[in-house]
Parts: sequence; C-alpha cells; structure tokens
Amino acid sequence: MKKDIIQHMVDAFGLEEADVMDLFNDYLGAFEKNMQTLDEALGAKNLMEIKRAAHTIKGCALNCGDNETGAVALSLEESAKEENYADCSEKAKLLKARFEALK
Amino acid sequence: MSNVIKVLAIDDEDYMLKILNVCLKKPDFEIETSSDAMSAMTLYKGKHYDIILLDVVMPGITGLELLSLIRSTDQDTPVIMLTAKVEDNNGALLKRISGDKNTYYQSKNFTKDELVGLVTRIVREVRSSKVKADYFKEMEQNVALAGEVQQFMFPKWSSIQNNAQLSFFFLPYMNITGDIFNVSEISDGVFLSIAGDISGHGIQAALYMAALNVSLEQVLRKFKDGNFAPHDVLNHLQGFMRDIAGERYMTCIASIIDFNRNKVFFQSAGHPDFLIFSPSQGRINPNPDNIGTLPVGMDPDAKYSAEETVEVNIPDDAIMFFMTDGLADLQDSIGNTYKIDPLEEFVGTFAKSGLLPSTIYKIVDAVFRLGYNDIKDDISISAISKLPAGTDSFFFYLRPVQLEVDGVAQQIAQRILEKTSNDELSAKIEVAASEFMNNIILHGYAGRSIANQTIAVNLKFSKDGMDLTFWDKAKEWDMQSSINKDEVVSDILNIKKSGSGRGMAIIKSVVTSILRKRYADVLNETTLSVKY
Repeated sequence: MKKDIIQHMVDAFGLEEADVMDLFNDYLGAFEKNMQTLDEALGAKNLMEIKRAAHTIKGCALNCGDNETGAVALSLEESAKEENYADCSEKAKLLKARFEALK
Repeated sequence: MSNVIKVLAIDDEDYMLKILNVCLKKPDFEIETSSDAMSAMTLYKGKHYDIILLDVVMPGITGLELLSLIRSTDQDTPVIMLTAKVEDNNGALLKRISGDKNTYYQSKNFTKDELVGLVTRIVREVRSSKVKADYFKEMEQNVALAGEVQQFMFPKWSSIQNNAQLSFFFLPYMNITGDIFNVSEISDGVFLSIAGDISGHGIQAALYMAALNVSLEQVLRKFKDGNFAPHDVLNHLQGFMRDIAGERYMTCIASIIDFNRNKVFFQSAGHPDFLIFSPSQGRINPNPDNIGTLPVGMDPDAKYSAEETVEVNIPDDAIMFFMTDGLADLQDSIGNTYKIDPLEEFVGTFAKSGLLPSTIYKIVDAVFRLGYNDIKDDISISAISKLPAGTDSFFFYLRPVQLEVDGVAQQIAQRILEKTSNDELSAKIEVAASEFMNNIILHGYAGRSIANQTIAVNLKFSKDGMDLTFWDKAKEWDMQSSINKDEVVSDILNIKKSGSGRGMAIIKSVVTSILRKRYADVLNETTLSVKY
C-alpha cells in the first residue's frame, strides 16, 4: 500500500526516492491534521466541517495516488452531504484505520 | 518578456501547495503560495503573475468567490481552478466557469507533466495573444497618427487664398486615405487644382498619397513660372507612378482655374468630372463631350497631350466642386446607395447664396440625415470660388488658440466701426465675439488636436443689422438640459432659451439671437445676429 503510493509519487512527480519520502511524510502529516479536524467535527456533529475535512483528505489522497483513501473520503463526504451522521462516524473509522495502516 | 512563468498558487492545504512547488520549479517557474484568499489578494495586488492556480473549496472566502474578486478587475490573467470534486461529473463547476475564456479546470489527481504542460500551454497562448494584441494596437495607433499627419497634406477645411475662397471636406473610411486634393495659387488669381484617387485602400494607398503630394510640390517648383497646362501635370505624375507605384494607378483631374479670365482648363484622367454651380446661372456641365483619358499610371507608356484639355468659361459667381466617389458610395442601413449623385442633388439648395465654409458640410449632412451614413469609401470634396466683391461681407480666419482670438475680435470691431461709426456697438460686439470664441469655441477644442485646425468667421452686414457667423470643428456645444435638443437640431435657438457656457450672459446682452447648427457631426455653425 505504502509502496504503491511512493511509486506513484516517483512516477507522477519525477522525484528521487529521498525526496519522495519527504513528500510521503508530508502527505501523512496532512492526513493526520485533517483526521484531527474530522474527529473534532464529528464530536461537534458539524456536518459542514466533516464534509470539508473529508473533501481535503480526498484531494490529497487522489493527488498522491492513494485511491483507496480517496474513495473512503469521497464516501464520507457524500454521507455528510446526506446529513447521515451515523454513516459519517463509520466511514471516519475506516479512514482512521487507513491512516494507521499507512503510518 | 522573461520566459519564466510566474505562478500564484492558493490552497488551504499545505500538502497541495508543496505538490505544486514540487511540480513548478525553477528555472522555468517562479511560484508563490498562499493558504487563504485574503493573503492571496495581497500577493496578487502586489505584483504581476502569469497564471493563478486556485483551489475551489477553501474555508472562508472560497475559490470561486476569490475568482469573482479577481475577475472584477482583471479578465486576462489565466486562472486554473484545482478541484478534488471527482463527483463533478455533471459539469456543475465547468458551467460556472465556462463563460470565462481565461479560467480553466484541473482535477487534483494530476501528474507533474500534466500540470507543467497545462500551465505552460496556457501561459504561452496568453502571451502570444498579448503580443498580437499589442502589435495590432500599435498598428492602429500608427494608422491613426498617419491619418492625422495626412490632414496636413490636404487643404485646410476652409481658407481664403488671394481672391479665392476654398472649402474642403474629408472623411476617411479607415483613418487613412489614398485620396489626393491639392489647390495651389500658381500666379495671381490662377489656381492649380488636383483631385485624385489612388487605386486600392489602406496603408499602401496612403503612402503613395503622401509621396504623390511631395511629387506635386515638385510640379510647382518645376513650373514655377506658372506657364504650364493640365497635361504637363499629368505627365509628371505619370512618370512618378511609373517609377514607384508599380501596378497601381490613380484617377485624377488636373485643373487650372483662372479667376482673372473666368476660365477653367482641365484634363480628366479617368476621374469623375467636377461640378460647376453658379447661383445666378445654375448648374453648368464642364465636360459636355465627355473628353477624358486613361488614369495616371494605368498605361505607363501613355503621354498626356494638350488635345485632351477641356476649356470652359465660368460665370463670375461659379463654384467648382471636385470630389472622389465616396459621397455617391454612401449606403443606408440596408445597403442602398442614394439614387442620384448627392452633390448634384443638393448643390442647388445649399450653394444658392454662394460658397460658404459650411456649404459642402451641409450637403454631406443632408445625405447623412436621409439615412445614407454607412461609409464605404473615403469621402473627399473640395470647392473653390472667387471671393465675392463688395464691402458687406468679411471673412476672418484664426487658429483655435487664445492668442489669435483678441486679434480677430479687434478686426471685427474695426470693420463694424468703419461701417456703422458706432463706437459702442463696435466695442460690445468685440467683447461678445471674444467671449464666444474664448469661452465656447476654444473650450470645445479642449483635449482635441488643433493641428491644421482653423476657425472661420464671417461678418455680414444687412440693412437692419449684422450677422456674425463662426464655423469651428470643436465638439458639439453642451446646451443646458432645459434646452430641447430637437429645437437645437431643427435650429432656431432663441436667445431667451440659450444659456450654456461662461460668457453667455455678456453675449446675450449684446446680440439679438443665436442660431446654432452642427453639420455632418463635425462642423459647428453659430450665427450671432444683431438688429439695429
């Protein structure tokens, strides 16, 4: 999984491996920051903020070839749009698991 | 222009900004980044960027709102909207930006090559368009300047030379012209008139026009004793056309107008005949036998001879009108031209009292007012007549500068004093004339080129008073809003209704009425009437 993302970064951005690791760590940093935002939004049941955090996670994920994360984030964004809070919580757990796996 | 592409990137996610930095590196790119709309606006206002990359979804001011802010003052800088909206399959975002030709859409799952390719292509296109636009703008400015310079090669729109009065109307189809008009006094009371039309349009015809004008000066130097005939002029021009103009030719009518003997000698090289109108005798056909020759330059080996010169006797009050074919080519809104030659149609109406500075302008104005105002060719008309003898009418000419106003006002006052022996009236009209020229006419020239411009003034006495008429090419006089525009157009502007312009109070206290008209949207005619 991690290997695929790194390979995508090499292919997509023409980077050396050392630079790719920096970029990958930046991606993880962005993922973590947005997960915190998502957690806070879930706690506050702020669907607008949930949607925005999911959207941002999706954008970063798609950019670095992390399509699985992108798909979950998209699904979460749609649940937030449908104001289905229970679904949002479930999908946020999937995202968190995804983040832990990447770490 | 530097080849480096300057980029402003705005995204609330630092990771995305890092990706953009990774993709758009020196030396080909200089990228500055911002994570919110407000700081982005500060950067944007501070310097020029070749392109802006803008995230659609941002907290606070969104990307689309920021785009609207930018577009409120800048429609040209290209903007690429970056979006993770994978669900935008229905094209909602595209619809919102599709009316803006300089805004593009890019999904965030781009590769470096894709982004670099897109940014480079867009900036190249914009730069190329700007180079072309700048080039055409400069060309247009140069052509406009050339048009202004050409004005110096034409006769003044109104003038008096010795015992002749001249009038000239010129309206170019596209700023510049290939028409030639030249009137020169070659000996006392004898004038050489050249009217010509070089084949083709645009810059080439205009350049030949300029060169031919120089050549005409050579004619005058070559025949400085005034002992030459129309065919000598045509042969000189023929040599010139053969040498430099290649396959171009020029229709031309060369005339020698002798006001001492009341005769015109002319030769037409494929040009429309001129028109003679006499207020006392009506229209006179100058060329009943339709004698004419080939246009100048059409047959490089042709020689013009005295045999084709036509001699015509003219009455003392004859007015000679020379023209190119632009007036007859005027079209109405559905493409029809006027049914007969407009000059022939209206000359009897507008020249029945003799040639005035406004006569040609009235004729053109009449055609315009009939709806034939779509110009398809340069319009050039000149008129020349002998200055009427007598002591009831006096012309004055001045450049539209304050320095010359006082001198003309004093000359007007002197004429009035000589005619009426009325000191007070003379002084009052001097003040009124001075006020009118300074505060109405000269103000109308503000911001306009006065190169080759002239103001014509006529003082005409009648048994119960006098008319002081001014002709100027300044802007249309701004009347008070209380003045009904139709009344002004249809003319009678009673003094009690007028009141615009500084100095009007003084003028109103002196004159009995003011008549104000504007012809062909270029010439103002104002008559201040005083009744004893």
